[in-house]
Amino acid sequence: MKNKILLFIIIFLGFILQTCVEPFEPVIDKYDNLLVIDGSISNFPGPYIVNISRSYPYNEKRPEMVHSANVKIIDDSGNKYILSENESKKGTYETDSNFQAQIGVGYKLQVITPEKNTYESEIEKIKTPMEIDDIYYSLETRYNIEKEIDIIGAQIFLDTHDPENNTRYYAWEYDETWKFGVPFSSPKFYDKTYCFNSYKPKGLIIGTSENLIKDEIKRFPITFVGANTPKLRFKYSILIKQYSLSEHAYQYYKYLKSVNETGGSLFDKTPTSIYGNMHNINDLNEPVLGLFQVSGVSEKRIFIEKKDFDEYFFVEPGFRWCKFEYSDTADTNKTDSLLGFAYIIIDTTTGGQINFTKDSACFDCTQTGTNVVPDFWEE
Amino acid sequence: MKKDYTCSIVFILLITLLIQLKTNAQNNSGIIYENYDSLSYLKFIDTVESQTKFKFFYIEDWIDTIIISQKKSPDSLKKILSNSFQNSKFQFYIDWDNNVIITNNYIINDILSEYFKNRQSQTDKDEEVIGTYAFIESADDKKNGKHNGEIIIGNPVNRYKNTEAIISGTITELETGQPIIGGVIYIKELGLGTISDINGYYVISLPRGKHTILFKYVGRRDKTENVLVNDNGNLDIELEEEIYQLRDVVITAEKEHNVEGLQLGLNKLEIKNIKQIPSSLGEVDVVKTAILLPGVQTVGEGASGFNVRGGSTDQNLILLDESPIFNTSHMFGFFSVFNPDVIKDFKLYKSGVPAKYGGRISSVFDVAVKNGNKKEFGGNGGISPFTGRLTLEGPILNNKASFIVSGRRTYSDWILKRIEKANLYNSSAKFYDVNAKFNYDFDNKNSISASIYHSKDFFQLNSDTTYNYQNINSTVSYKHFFSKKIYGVFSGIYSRYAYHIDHESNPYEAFNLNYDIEYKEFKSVFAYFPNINHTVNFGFNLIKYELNPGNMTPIGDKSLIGEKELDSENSIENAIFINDEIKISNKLSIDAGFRFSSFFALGPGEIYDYNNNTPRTTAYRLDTLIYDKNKIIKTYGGPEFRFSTRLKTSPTSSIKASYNRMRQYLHMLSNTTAISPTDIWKASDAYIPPQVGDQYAFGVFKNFLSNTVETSVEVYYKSIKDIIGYKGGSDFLLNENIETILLSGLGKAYGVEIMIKKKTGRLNGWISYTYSSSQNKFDSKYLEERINDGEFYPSDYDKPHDLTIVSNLRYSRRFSFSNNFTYSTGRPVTYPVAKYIVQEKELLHYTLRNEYRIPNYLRWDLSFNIEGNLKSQKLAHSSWAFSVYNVTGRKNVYSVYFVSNAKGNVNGYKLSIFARPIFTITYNFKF
Repeated sequence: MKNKILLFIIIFLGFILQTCVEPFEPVIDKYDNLLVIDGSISNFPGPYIVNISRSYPYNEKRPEMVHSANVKIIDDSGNKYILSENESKKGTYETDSNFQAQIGVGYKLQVITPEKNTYESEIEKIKTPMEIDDIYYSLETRYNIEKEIDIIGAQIFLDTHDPENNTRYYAWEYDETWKFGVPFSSPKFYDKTYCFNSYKPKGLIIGTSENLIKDEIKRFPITFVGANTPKLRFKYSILIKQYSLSEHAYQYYKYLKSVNETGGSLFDKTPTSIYGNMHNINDLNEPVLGLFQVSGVSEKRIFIEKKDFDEYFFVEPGFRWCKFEYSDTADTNKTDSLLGFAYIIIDTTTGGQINFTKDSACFDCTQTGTNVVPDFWEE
Repeated sequence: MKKDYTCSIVFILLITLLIQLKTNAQNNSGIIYENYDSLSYLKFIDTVESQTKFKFFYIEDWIDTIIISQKKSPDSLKKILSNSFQNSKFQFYIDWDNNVIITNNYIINDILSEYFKNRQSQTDKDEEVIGTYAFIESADDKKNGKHNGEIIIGNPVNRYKNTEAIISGTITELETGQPIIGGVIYIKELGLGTISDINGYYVISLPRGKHTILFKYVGRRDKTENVLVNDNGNLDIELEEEIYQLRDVVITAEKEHNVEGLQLGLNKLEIKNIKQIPSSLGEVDVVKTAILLPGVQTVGEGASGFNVRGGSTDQNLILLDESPIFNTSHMFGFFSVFNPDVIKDFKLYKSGVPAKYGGRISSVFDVAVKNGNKKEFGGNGGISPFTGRLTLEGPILNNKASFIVSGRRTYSDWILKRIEKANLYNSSAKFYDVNAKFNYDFDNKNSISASIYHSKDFFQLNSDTTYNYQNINSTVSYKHFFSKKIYGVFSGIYSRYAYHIDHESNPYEAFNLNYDIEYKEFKSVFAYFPNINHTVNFGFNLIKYELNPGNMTPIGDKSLIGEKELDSENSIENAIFINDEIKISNKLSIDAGFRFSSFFALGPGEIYDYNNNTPRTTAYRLDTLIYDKNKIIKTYGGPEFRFSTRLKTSPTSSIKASYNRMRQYLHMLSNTTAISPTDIWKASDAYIPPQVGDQYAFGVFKNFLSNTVETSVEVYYKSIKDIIGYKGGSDFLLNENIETILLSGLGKAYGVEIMIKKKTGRLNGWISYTYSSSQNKFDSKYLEERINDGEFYPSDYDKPHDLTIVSNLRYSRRFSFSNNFTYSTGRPVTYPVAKYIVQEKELLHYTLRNEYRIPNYLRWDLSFNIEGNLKSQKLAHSSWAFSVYNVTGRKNVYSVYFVSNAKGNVNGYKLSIFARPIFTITYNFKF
């Protein structure tokens, strides 16, 4: 409701009243220096990673990592698995590669900082992961607020369910991969005509069936892929990872989203502090940020062929800037000087006019992607 | 009598002249200082007329031979004239208005006093006297029971009783028969006065005898009536509109009221004045106008509701013809629910709230609907960029019964359809509202009125989810005069607010959700006027609340939504109240009021017993108590004292003080900055005690330039117990354990409000400055039940500095120009105190609430009003209003927010809603 109102204000009133959104970077002099513990464990093979850092001032760029902490994962039968600090990424702690968490087993995280403060999470069980039943899409039109145009594309949906009605709280993340081609293919770069790109947005998508009579998630919108991007030009693939969360973790992400991913209207909730499941065992009132996420995971991939979208491509999406420069007569010196780093067409019908572009991204796809075919790719 | 026949014509003319001619007062003592002995009579008259207030009426032929004889100087005019006329057949008569009437061979008796003297002394002049006023009666005077321009009240037999006589009556508008509230009734000689009440009714007790009573009301022509009071009686007055002031902005009540009245913290605005003020979207808006008054704040443009003296939005009792309105806005706050065409005026009580009002802590915003015109049919309407309006009114029985019906509807849905944007293809946002009112005066003693209001909003974005919400309000009142001294108004009041959400975009999760609150009230208010020094109001009310906090039902076969229904909540609130406005002396008056309210939360219901030594969460429930239907679950109540006093320090200045306590049993739960249509109302129950507020206020009032400029300084301090707060991130809708997310805290607010108003003249308006502070505190043993470490922190609507300048320049009868300037401190906002990274995503950490402020707010609006031409023979009278909102195009910040995007970076944004000047044209017509 609240986001809808904001959308209403921006679109409708914006059209009439010139609503305006501008970047705003206030100087915030207050700063809370807090411990941040960010880790997760699942039934998928490790190594599992725990990042330990400190919160940093609003007007700064990078966190300070916490080195030399003593980090352990302890299971419900008391077995301890020590995490070692990554030599090249300080503050990042990893489990041994032969440790894999098991479904139905409870785990907790223990962190002892260099100051000898001990932080622990509660023991949480790895829930049984549910299979993703289906991933599918439908053609939809969306209005893009920033570009102020209508965009046609694929709205991707997901179905899943738990016959036992035990899961209830879900989270998803996805990883997109697509094949793309450059507008000017050249024999010299023939292996660089088609490439692959991928994108993985940060953050989780969450959903619940808590208000439903059955633990079923149907037609859950995951993402919208616009036909104005190169993603759907040749072939597109999406891999969705599904997490079975505890109710507590779900609430945590829900609050986190409401504080960090909405905003702008007076109908948004007042932002508040959000703490996860890590506590200083000697001082329960010490605020600790972050979450130790214990969840069951499953994943599913689908491919989307270009055929559904052919009619919507007029210009090679993503390469609109690729244009030729012209040179009136064939100047061998010039041709020579361009060889190797420009794409040249010599038009013999007009007595050797040279059409060329120096923008290598227009003829060499490895400039913006990779020509290594991913191992999951199906042609 | 025949011999006087010609004379009578002269006199009628003279009387007419007397009324019309008014001269500037210079000397009206009747004492002539210069010596005019032996002057010709005509010269004498010229001189006296030019130097004093006296006016002479005579026929030249009669008196050109008279020579003035003045024996000493100074001497009284009366003496001089009687000396001069001593040996002539001429007589003179000096009336109450300093008119000197010369008659030939004939005595005008001062019937006001002489008549009875004569009767008593059994002189034989009776016949002549009666003859005298018999022939000067004009047809018009006769109709009004006047003699010689004088109204005789009561049977002359009772003329010499020792007690004071009680005069009562109703002051109405001449053109429409609408009662005038707050009209002044004033007897200058006695220094006595009173004010007509909410029904236009007044009562004043006077010594028997001759009086000159002045009736006045802003925007209406003063009316002076000479009365001869023999006994108790009725005097109804109609005041005529002062046409040349039509376009004036007249801010508060009547001229005298500011200094004279007992009220502190009262603002009153009439619709015609509200219409002057530049509007934001071409729509005249009483709520947006109220926000321009000192002590009234809003969290942002287009936010619904308002905050009075540091109180939350739900602490305002918003009444439309006595019926409470639960949602005051259309389209999330861009428009208010009050249709300007049927609104008569509003009164806003910020302190010193009369005892008859209760149930909310911060203010009473009392909006009155017009009565239909009792005399003739008429209508008006208009078109603004968003809405079309039409109102019809007229008599049903001439002078007895009338109706008014009005409707307003947006055509924004039509605009939305024109916007070719994908997300708006199946979008809609529209509203309408309808008012109807009926009045019937059976006789002098009984009258009835019925007022109905209905509003509906519909909102849909991209055929996804539809929201609609509606208000229904109605009031039926019966007024009965038990005697001249006491009357009662008995009202049945109904109000309902409901919303409905339909979500069908995903058939598997299709549902609809309903919420409603129903309010039924019976109220009796009596006004009793025992004598001149007391005005007593008393009565009682009984309110029944039925709240349905929500139910959710699946739609269609595929829907997996589970049916969910929260128990309805029933409760009763009642109160008895009395207040007495006591005049202790001419200088000192007090209004002492007392209200006792009580509240009963009724079953059926399940009440959980929580462990007192733990935070209140579902995990710590000890026991469940089940209450049957209508069993009392919890009782609250207590006395509420209301007290105000006024001390006049001079004829044009006074000081006032007030104290009031208010109890609030119904609360709106809203954890957002502004009211959202889906916020819910919650009655006090076993867990939620009533909010109790105390306010102390003090004010100094001074008028200048014969009361045309009013100045005031008011200070107040307010403390509130048991205000409601929320644990972070909580949801209210369909929450079965709402008590586990509510917090109880303290509120305090204080401020100074300075106002300078010029109410009449070609240039009028006001300047107000407010300094205020509003803070809340939520403390607890438990960390999760504390906000800001349990310390006081600024409330969302704490805006310390607020300057408003509203002015209106009347260029001519047809053209006027209005200007509105507002500056205020930015509202408090919560900024993140740190960033941190979880799952490679930059996130924000917030702790202390409202520590920062959004940039200061500054806006300047202009409007230009053109009245149609002034030809009287026209089908309709039309007017145009051109408004520019935010002339400078300043991008006032509506909100500041921070978003962590999909790339994992945090960005800050500021949103301005009216980021450019907004031009609107509104066309209005009247027929």
